[in-house]
Amino acid sequence: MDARCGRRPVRPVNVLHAVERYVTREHRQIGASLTRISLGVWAVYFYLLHWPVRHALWGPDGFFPHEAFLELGPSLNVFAVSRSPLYADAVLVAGLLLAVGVALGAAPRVVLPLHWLLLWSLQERNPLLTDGGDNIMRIALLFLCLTNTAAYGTVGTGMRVPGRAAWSRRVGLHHWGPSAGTCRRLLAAVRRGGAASRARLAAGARAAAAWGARGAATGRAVRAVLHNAGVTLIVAQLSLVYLSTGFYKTMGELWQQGTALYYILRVDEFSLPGRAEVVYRSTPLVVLGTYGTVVFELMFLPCLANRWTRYAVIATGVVFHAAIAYLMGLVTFAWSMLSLYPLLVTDDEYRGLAAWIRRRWGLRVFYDGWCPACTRSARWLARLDLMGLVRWISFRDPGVVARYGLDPDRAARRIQSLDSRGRRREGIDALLAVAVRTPALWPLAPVLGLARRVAGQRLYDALAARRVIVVPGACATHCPAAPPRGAEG
Amino acid sequence: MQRAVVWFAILGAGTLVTGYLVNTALYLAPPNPLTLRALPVVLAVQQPWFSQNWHLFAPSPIRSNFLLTVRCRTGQRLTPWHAPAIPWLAVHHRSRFTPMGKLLRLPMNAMLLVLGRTTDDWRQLLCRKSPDAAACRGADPAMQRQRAIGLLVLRRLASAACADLVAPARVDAVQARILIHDPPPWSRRHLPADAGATRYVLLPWMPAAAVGR
Repeated sequence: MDARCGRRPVRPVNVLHAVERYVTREHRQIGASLTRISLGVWAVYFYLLHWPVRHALWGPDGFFPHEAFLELGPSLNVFAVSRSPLYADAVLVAGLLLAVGVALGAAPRVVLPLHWLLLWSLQERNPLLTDGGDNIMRIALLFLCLTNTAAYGTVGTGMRVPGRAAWSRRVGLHHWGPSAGTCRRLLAAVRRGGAASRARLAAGARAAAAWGARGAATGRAVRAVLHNAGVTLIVAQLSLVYLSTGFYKTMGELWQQGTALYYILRVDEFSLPGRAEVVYRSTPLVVLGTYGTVVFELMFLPCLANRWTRYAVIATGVVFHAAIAYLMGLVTFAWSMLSLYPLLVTDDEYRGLAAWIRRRWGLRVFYDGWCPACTRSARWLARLDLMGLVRWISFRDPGVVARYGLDPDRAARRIQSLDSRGRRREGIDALLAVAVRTPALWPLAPVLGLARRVAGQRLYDALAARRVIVVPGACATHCPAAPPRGAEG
Repeated sequence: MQRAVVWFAILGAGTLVTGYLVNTALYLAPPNPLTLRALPVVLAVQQPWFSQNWHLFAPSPIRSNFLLTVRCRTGQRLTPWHAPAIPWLAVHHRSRFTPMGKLLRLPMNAMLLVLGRTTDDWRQLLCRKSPDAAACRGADPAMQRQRAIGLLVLRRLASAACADLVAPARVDAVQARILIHDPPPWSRRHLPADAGATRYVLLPWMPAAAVGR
């Protein structure tokens, strides 16, 4: 009918298939990883910050004694096990180590639930200390346990997805899924056996692979469903927080009158002398701040529906919580809330942003691939480069010198770098450019900057001239640092 | 078979997510007939693991300074009133990255418990309708327990402050007083904080407690 009319046939959309395809793919993996990192760093900060006052806050003979805590009827609380001060200290140390594990992404499926348990125990141990930040973080951590937070930013993988299937993909059994080791053992057995045995084993392997592929695909799909459920719960919970408080605020007289901010900032505990006066003495700032808060909180959820309003609400939220942290002193509350914001951005949006940043601030660094120490350093620095801004290239590789217009003599003497605007640097200047682009090296950047002004380049040259290089096929160890004549790349 | 497993997971997760969100919406909503009807279920699902409160300065923001002052008795000697949290507040104002923010919450929340402040919307609703109900006079067990916890923490805070104040003498008893200071209202916002009104609640003498810090 359609063809006769000259129209393209309309394919019926299978809604169920579309739903299945959508929910069995993990969404917002980058956001989940960033949320894990942020909440992990938050907890490390929390444990270290309160370590000096731990006995007063959570000690068995502190301001809220162990007996009073037990009378509250704690549920699943590690502090209920013993009232020994040493035990309480051990729990806090364990909490700190788990927090470090969460931040680094070490075995998150195990570490995250344990981390949640210790934070829950801590909050229940002294309920008079908790604030909204502790509350949202506790709930979000529980939902985060459902998600895949190890896709990015974990120890050893940097920001890249771990390539577990790489080996099995090479041998053509990439759907095997559960373990590449199993594939390897099976293939080894096939190779060892006779012709008949090989045929039987090969048939068995094919059947097992097909069965395993189906099982692994199902496992991946179920894990993806759980991941997406976790992400949905966190985003929805965050939206409910704003909606609930916004709703209550509309019922308050001072919020309706536009003066609530004035009264809050005049309470010493939520004020900052010398700065808060500027706000609370200004009528426009108080009224706009009061109404703006209510509008932001009520509009948070609807604004998530559109990409551009979502960006606007994220930017507003960051400013709003930064102001709360600074003016009202609620740093951990603001941090907890903002830790969930990475989940508001999709993976494609992160990738687009990363590509834009790389185009603008990307750096190619040309090191000496014949120098084992240089290669090791490059590998370590690449691991620290979570943003993937720096590309490490050995200038000894074929064609590199010609492609990037390098001077091989200079490249052999000093490390070279080329940024996205075509600017070339060498020696300590190139190292400084690397440090500036690697957040983990930021503490080192001022030192390098200072060293650059005080004979840093000479020191670099002296160290570079003493490096050991190993020319492939020429000498085994301790070859001179001077570049071989005519070597290209 | 595998597809059935996947769909079972999808439907199961979808049901749980929807159920949790509906329940949380009812839990967080102001008192209403629908929540009232489902209250036992709503509370059973949310508490204790998902308990939450997002009043966050709403509907009426905190508008008074609550200051704990203590005095100590050592034998026949009585010390003047002393505010142990003032140095903590000064540190908190100097830097936002100190543990004082958490430490300050302790006296503040303990004082609010003693004063019978609550964020329980159902209790507030009840007290608006029947001010003479036991729960509104602080006579119900929950309120009494809340007040006892507040008093316990204030006693220990006062004991610790007195131990520092009169050391090495031994403190026999401590007394706490809650100062409530209302800053000037909006119409007199240019006036300094002293221009506001101050009142206090005197608590009974309590035996000193040993506090490990």
